Amino acid sequence: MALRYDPPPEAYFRGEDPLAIVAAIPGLIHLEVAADAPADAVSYDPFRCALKIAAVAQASLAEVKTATRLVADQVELAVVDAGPAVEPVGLQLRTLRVDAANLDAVAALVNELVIAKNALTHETRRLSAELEALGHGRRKQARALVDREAAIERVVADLHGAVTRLRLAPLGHLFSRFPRQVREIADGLGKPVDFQVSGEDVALDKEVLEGLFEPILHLVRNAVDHGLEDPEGRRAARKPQRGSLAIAARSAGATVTIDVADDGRGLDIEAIRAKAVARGVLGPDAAKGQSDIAVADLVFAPGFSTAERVSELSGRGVGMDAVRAAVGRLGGTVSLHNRPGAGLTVRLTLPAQVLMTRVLVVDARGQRFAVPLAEIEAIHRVRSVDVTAVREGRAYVRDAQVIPLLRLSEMLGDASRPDDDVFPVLKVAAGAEAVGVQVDAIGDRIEAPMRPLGGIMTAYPGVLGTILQGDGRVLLVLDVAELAA
Amino acid sequence: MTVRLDGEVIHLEGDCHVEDAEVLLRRLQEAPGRGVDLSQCRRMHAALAQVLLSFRTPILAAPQDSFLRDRLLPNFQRSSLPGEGPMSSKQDPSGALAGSSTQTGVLG
Repeated sequence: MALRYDPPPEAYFRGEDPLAIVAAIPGLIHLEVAADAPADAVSYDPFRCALKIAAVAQASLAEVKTATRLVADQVELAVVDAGPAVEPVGLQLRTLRVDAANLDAVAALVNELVIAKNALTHETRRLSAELEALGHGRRKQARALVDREAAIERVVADLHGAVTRLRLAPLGHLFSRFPRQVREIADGLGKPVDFQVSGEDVALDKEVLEGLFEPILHLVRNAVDHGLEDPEGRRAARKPQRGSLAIAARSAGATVTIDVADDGRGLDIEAIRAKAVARGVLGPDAAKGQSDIAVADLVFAPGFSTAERVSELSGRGVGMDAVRAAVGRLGGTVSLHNRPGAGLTVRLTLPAQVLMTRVLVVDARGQRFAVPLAEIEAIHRVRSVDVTAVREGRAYVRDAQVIPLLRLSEMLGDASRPDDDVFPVLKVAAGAEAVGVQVDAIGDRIEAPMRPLGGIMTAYPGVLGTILQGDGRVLLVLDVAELAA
Repeated sequence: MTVRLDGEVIHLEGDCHVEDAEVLLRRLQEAPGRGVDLSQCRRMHAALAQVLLSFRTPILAAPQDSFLRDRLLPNFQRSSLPGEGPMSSKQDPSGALAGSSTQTGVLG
């Protein structure tokens, strides 16, 4: 049965609850609820019913009539062929299957359009500046040019958004691959594991989705191999005999978080601290001063593996650093929530859609680079006289905070030259600490889709990808936090 | 308490009745862009669903109840695609797109 149900505006006053009525229809297999867009958000009346409801139920006419008898005058019924696969005419259940390659082609074209538009922006600004300089009469023309350009810019941004949304796919596809993997890993290690997955409906860009399998698999392996104790260990720790491992995805606005959580032993902070000292990653004094959170973050340092022995399973030369790098390439971040003795949760935070990346163009030693604006906490102008030497490094004070200062050119392996009297500094978060990155000059902010590095460049540390500038030049997008670490 | 604000997240909890619609509306109007956590919501009166639909409120966590989760929730997700909500266009006459469009400018 298909039904259309248009409750009158005064339905709520009459004490009717259209949702409760629909919920009571037996065999409900599809429900569409739409609300009229409010004409005016300020004077919106929540007690005036503005719902339009359409539903499909696998039930007899009599059953549906019984369920809707109180509002019979508001309901239109139509018999449709039974079966969940049937899409009743007029209910607008319209989906279309499209080859992914076609979608990619459209997305690639839109990306080209964005780049062409950026070139237009560049040209428009140059031209309008020239027109303005010509004097009063030309100012109007300059403004018209800028306005037209802005209109195109808006449409292009809209189009990009619409195409991006087309590429969303539910995480369920990805998650369905893990139960078997977990079972195999757990069986191989003789550790009984209860594995749970939630949030299969959460949608991500399909490219991001594909790139997540390896890092999540690695986290799963780590959790079973190093996180969960063996049966004796769990008995000794008075934990349930079966270890628990869960992957949970949640959508939170523009980002999606994926938690991989186990109830194993968690990270041994003191062991990591000791190892960091032994490997010379941290000096003994620095190690004592570091917070537990900062120490836990060291597991992401390249080549830093916390397990005492390299097991066959996880010890394949890729560690947490590879996970962070892989997720970073997808535009995401990785964070830890450690519960010593009780388990570890690794959280991947990813953009729900491949967004245009907003970057700041900076100049270092005559070369231009792009830095994602999202990474920059603040831009400071620092006078060279205010910089103080701290041991072998340098630092400055801003807002009662001592910020270590690094030169971008030196981070990139260039020799230094004398500083200007005043120079710009990008304040970025490197791990749990703030770092100031000194550059020579700051240029435009631009927005463009970032292309991930391909081929051998993939392994190049500190580079997130490339962006095509309006004038056609390619900029390297730097991961300054990684360079500073 | 069925409508509870925690930071920028509105939680709907337990049985949400028609009168809760007004509280929910107020919480959304105070700060557009707030999302709603339905994980503890058992029942929802149509008036609340209408507010969530009309304002294209992002749903941050799904309810447990199968009717709410499997039948009602997809409707919110259909309507909560960003960028065209009546709320955002109301609050930002220059278009909700300002945030997503290219912003160029020379800094300092």
